[in-house]
Amino acid sequence: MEHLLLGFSVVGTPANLFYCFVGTFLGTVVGILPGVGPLATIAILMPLTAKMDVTSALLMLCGIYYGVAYGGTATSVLLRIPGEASSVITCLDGYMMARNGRAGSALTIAAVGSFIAGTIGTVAISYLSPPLAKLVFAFGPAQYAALMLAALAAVTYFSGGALLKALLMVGLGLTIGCVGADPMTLTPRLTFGSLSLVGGIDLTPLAIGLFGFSEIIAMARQPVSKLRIIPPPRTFLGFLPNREETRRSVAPVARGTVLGFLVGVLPGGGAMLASFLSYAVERKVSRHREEFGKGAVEGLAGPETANNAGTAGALLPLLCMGLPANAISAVLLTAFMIHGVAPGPAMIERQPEVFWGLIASMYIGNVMLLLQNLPLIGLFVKILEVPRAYISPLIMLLCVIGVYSSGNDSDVAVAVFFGFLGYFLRKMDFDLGLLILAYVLGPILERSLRQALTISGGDLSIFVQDYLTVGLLVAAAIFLLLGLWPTRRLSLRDD
Amino acid sequence: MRLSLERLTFLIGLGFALLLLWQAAGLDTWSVIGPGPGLFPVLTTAFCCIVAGLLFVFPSLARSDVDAERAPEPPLDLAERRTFVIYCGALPLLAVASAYFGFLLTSVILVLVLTWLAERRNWRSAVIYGVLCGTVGVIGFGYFLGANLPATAIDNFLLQLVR
Repeated sequence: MEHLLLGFSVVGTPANLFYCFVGTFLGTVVGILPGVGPLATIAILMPLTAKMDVTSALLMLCGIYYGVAYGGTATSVLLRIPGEASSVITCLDGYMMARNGRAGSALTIAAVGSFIAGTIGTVAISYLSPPLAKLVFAFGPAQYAALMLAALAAVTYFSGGALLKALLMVGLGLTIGCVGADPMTLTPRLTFGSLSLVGGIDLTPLAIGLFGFSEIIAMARQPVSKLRIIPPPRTFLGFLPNREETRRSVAPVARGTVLGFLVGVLPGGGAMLASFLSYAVERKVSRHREEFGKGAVEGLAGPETANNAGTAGALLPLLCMGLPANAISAVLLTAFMIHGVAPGPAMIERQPEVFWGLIASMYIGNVMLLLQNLPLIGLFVKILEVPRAYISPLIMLLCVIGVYSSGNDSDVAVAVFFGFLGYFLRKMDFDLGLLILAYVLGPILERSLRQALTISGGDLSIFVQDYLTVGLLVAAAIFLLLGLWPTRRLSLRDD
Repeated sequence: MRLSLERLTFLIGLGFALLLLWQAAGLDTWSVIGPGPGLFPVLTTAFCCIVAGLLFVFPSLARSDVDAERAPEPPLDLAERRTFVIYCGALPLLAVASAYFGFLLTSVILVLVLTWLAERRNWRSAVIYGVLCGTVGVIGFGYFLGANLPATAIDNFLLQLVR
């Protein structure tokens, strides 16, 4: 409890509250806007925060991460356009509720459910982090390498689509992570003799290219259509759900919170898988199954809660073990490292103000999101009325600012290259989130692998000498074998 | 063996992976202090070669029921294709312009290309919007947030006005 109070004292300064507000506000806007997702936004802002105070910068970037789910809900309910992947399922019953004249109730149930899930998820992180972090101390290089492999296999399995295509993206991500000088011997690797590649390929141009520029090209490919927004209520009373809606949303919110958090903690789980699973569960247990797809309260409350709980859950392995569960948390991991913070047990011990400040900011951020989203939702949705002719150059210029801020002049060309590559890979149904995740995990995996082999003098039996390593490697193998099973129904791309 | 776009993609992937493997193979996989700089790149590039090779030989392994459920993209009409091509052309232009013309001019050029040429909006409003974006970028991001933006005399003049 005293740790949490320390966190609140850190966040309570006017500057940190302001950055927390900016993060959650940007998160909501990004969740609404097509063409720029949380990953690209964090990548753009990451270098800009380099000169900021560590805690303020991380509060803002994390605010974007968990604020996105709120913004995505609004467009799903009012337009049937999911601003974010995790809000896809909300388009079914949330939009139908809005069409039935219950837009205000739908938005309130989603926002309050998200708030409850976010808050309970944060409480769970507060209490689970310290014991989990202690567990990580038992990990040596061999165990850590096995953990990374298990995480990559799990993420590949949950990514949906064909297993080999997912594995190819993982391989490509790991290979891109090798480009540049070797961190131990400084030998140039995979540079083809180019001096500009000796520094490696930075995450910022890579992420901005794959998720920013490629999205702009994809936007240009789509015909311009006139949006038909269902107007949100103008009065406060219009947002209040009736007694029946409130009663029916209680159990789905509770189930969605627990399910979402547990799924979020899994590598590759995340918000989208949580929302899909919650919808399936609600449809199974509901007494109003016939209403699903026609505006069932349970079909909105469960998934909306689950996706926020999943977002919170994904932060647990990141903060305690330095293990990102999805592509966005992988980018967040890099942001932490840029600021000299290594997520994991050492962070809780050596930088408690940053760790507990982040936890406290999630409590405060969830309140801010609730307060921003209900009264201002009509205003937020107006952003979508800005024509593509004005939005797309703006996004491109923001991308350029992000790339330039990362330091290297030639990075714009790198980002443009990855923009075209990303667009092509998207068209061929490759999962770009896996590429980013593998790119971030690659150097950590390599370091652990090399340390383990150095300790053992090159003896590979170090990977079968204890139950933990063997268990993790068996888990990785099981995930890969399960991936070969032909009937995986969900597309779980959390980018 | 028919060379579909899918198969061609895997072939290009395989070729690229082989090229990288060739690069990685030139590095030491083992040194006096333990695993060398080449060990991990050799493993990852070899892995890419195997997976791309499998996909090239058995393209059916690249299909899943999720992909089968996706509707194909509708074809573009002439005007839409023109817009798409201009957007694609704007990206390399952006890389070149930002390297030589500074941020303000790049903004104006980019907005003119996208808003006026691709989206057929009024050129005057495009110029005004471009200047506005550039000015906000230079002053807001370049000055207040300290972003390292490309600068020419015009950008420096703007910065001098606010200093």
